[in-house]
Amino acid sequence: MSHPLRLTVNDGEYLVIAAAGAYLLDVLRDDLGLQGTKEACAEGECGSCTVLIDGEPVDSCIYFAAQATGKRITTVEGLGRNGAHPVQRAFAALGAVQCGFCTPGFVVAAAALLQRSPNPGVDEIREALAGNLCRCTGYNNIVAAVLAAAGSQDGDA
Amino acid sequence: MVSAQAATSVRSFVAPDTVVGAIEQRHRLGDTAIYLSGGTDLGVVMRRHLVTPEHLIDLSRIDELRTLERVDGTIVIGSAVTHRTIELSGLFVGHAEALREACATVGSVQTRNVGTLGGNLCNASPAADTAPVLLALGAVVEIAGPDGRRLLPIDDFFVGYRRTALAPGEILTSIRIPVPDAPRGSAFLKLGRRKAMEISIASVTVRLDLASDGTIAAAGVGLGSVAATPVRSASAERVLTGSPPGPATWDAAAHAAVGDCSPIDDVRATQEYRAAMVPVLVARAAGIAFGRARSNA
Repeated sequence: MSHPLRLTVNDGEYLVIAAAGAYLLDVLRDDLGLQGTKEACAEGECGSCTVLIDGEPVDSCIYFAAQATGKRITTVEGLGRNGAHPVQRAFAALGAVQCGFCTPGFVVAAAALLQRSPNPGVDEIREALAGNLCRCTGYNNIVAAVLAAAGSQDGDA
Repeated sequence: MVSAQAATSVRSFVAPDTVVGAIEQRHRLGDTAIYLSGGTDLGVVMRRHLVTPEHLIDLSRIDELRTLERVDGTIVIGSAVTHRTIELSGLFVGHAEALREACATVGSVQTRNVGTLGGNLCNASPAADTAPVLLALGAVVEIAGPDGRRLLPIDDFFVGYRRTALAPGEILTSIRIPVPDAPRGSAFLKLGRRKAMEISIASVTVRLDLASDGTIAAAGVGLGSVAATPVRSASAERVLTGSPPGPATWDAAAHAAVGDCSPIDDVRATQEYRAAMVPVLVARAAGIAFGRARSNA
């Protein structure tokens, strides 16, 4: 059974007609065409589907779209609207990407970390990204990129 | 891999703003309705079609269930308070540090931002990180239902494998942790194979209250992943209570705790390994808890 849902995504207001049990991930990808958010495990393990809800990272694959009404949803597309986000620039510059599938989830989780902790240490970065899996890079370049992004930030993260 | 699709069993999603409203919705919708707190467990089992409710009643918008406060000698935690909120709260330092530690090890940041303390308890996994902590801390839970509210010691909440004392339609509303005037220390240790996103092989919480003569006035020992439910080790508590703190006491308590476990073999570890690790964890946690109790004196 479908329900109208009013969602705030990347500062835009959307009215979506979605199944009552629709997950946020599927509404973002299939109804709103925001395909930067990825589906991999679909059970809250890998972090590929990470989005921000009121600024905090959440796995959108096990989060019902209806849970997000009245909250601010930010996807990777929303981070890069005013030119690439410092985290995105650092990922590109330091080769923190191989196949790239997990990258949007990492970028979103890392951006949230820098928002609340502008100069994190390596342990804090690893802890903040523990819910994101990458099968290619071995993580070292990802951590290095987040450190670099923290150093390059001009307060607009 | 599960293909992307909505939970097709669900016909309606409601988000009441009061406990009474939620209970009324549950009564109106009947047994095919299920309460949803954060959904970090429910979302997973619904993805796998293991649970197929027709109606979801979202409890996370109910202000009462989201309060976290200290009222005189009790820390009151609304059931929809997230693990992340507890992890970042200063309310537990010195009184219930073990709960903060346990919440900080649940899943990932993404999990903790959504998953709730009440959800973790009602899911009633024997591996739930927070359950043995609350057993060790002597918590009391408040339950609301069609006939009103009741208080229940958490010892009586877990009645079987993934079963709780909640009657159909009842809601766990708050978790209350008594905070004594006496110096208290507590510690949570979780044994796993990785640091994050881990379901424990075993977990142990020890809580120690010190008497003015330096002996242990009271103790709580909670164990996770070693029986069909989270368990409290009465044997270890008896050994600790009234004893002088120190390695000999920790070892005696550790030995006693093994008798209160009935671990199984599963994908994460064998029965033997769990039984061997429990005393190691109990002794270690007791030492940490004692150090904290002393610094809180």
